[in-house]
Amino acid sequence: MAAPRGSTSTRVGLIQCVALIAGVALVVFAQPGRAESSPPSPLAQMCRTCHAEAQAEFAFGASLDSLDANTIFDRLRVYRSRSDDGSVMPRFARGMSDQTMQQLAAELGRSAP
Amino acid sequence: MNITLSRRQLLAAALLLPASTASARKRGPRIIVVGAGFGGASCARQLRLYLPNADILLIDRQARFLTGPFSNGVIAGLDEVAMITRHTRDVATAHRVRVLIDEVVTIDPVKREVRTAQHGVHRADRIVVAPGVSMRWDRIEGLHPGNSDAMPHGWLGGTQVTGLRDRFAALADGARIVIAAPPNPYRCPPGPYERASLMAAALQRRGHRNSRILIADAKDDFTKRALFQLEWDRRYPGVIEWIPRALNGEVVRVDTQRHHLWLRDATMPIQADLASVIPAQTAAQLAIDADLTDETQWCPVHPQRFESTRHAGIHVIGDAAIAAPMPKSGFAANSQAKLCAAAIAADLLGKPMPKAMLLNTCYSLLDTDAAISVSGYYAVVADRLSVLSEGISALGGDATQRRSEAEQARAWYRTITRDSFG
Repeated sequence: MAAPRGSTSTRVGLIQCVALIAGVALVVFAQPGRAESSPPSPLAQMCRTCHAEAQAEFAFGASLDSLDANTIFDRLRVYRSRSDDGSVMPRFARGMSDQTMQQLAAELGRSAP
Repeated sequence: MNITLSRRQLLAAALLLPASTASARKRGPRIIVVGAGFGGASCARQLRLYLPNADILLIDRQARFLTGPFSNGVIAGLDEVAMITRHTRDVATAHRVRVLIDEVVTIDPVKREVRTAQHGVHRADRIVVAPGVSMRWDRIEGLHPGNSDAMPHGWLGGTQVTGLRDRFAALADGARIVIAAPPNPYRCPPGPYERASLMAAALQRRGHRNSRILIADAKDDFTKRALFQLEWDRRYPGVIEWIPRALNGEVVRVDTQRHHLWLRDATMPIQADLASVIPAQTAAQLAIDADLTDETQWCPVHPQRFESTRHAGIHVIGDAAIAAPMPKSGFAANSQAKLCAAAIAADLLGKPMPKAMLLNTCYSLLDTDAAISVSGYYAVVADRLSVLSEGISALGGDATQRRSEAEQARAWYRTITRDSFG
């Protein structure tokens, strides 16, 4: 028995709408990189307080914008090896592990997002 | 079940569903930050960074305030008051958050509601409380809020800062200045000693060779003590005298009309031409009333996220929080704000908690062109905040090093106030 015309139309419409909902949902929720991009860590943000980003006139520490991650990592290791307390950075770096330094350098380095 | 929707209705539903979902995402969580100092303002900024869609409301009773850092330079007449003046509404523009200038009357930590004097009740998913400190008026006989202006502490950024400045400026040579330093813990641990240093520097500039500064202390040690005392002897010989608690240095009674101060066990008072009495401190009364404090009258927190141990969903940062071994400083509050905001965002978004690592540096000026500092790097170890590394200016530092640190201190002030207040 043939189905009433209106019912068939509704089923087709329902399928179309489900597809539309799925499509729109994909657009809304699956923008490339949205889920993967991670915000800066609190520690990196603390570094940025003095090593201000794109605010050269306010920067207290040396600008990090021109340094790549490897250079920042190397400098942190040099600070850690210093025995004097004369400036702030050796005091901080002395307690940092290689892993923490690497993560910081990756976040703060020139290629960081 | 019979579906009888028309194509138009289905199409409308299809378009509406993502729209309403997106709207809910756009609306985001509602977060209230109470207090727009270094902790609160920084936290509002970081919350905006981590939660772009959140409704963030920053509430403070003051439209304009003076920062604690560098206020001693103003009191000594070495810096202008404009340098330490900030405007709360600037935070709204700089950090894209809503700002309400109103007095918070109560915080209900269970309902997560904040009531303000002029604008009623505000509900939130999370509340960050950064209210600062209150003075204890029960420790020094004869001293109370009504007569404190006569022996101004100048510790809360109000009119006492300029009042103390004006009275210091009016002193004649030969004056005796008494600074009463409070017991631990309190806001800005090196503050009383920096104040003495800068007053001595100002007296030297004025040619007041016969004036003396007495620090009457309620404790037996203080931060950077060896450095301060070495530099006092070097720069201001015989001008600054420190009396520790062990030698009955604690001020226990005052007569503000006669400018008399009694040290513990003293039979005779000290006559002061100018007294700055800094009382013992607690977390701000607002935090006490909100049941956020323990028997110490400070706010216990989980250091991983600076969430109150007494009420879930309520976070306490800055001077009011128990965060030892971190000192109660603007830098510490700014660091805690960053960790707290990241932790709130992680919790709301169902992401892993951030690593709890914190930084602090306290600079202290000895003169306009000389400073010393202490720094610490902290992390949570076994649910306790611990020092991973720390350091202090070299005892044998020369004038060049002291000058360099003074330049760093001023640069730090510019960057941290920019970071916190825009």
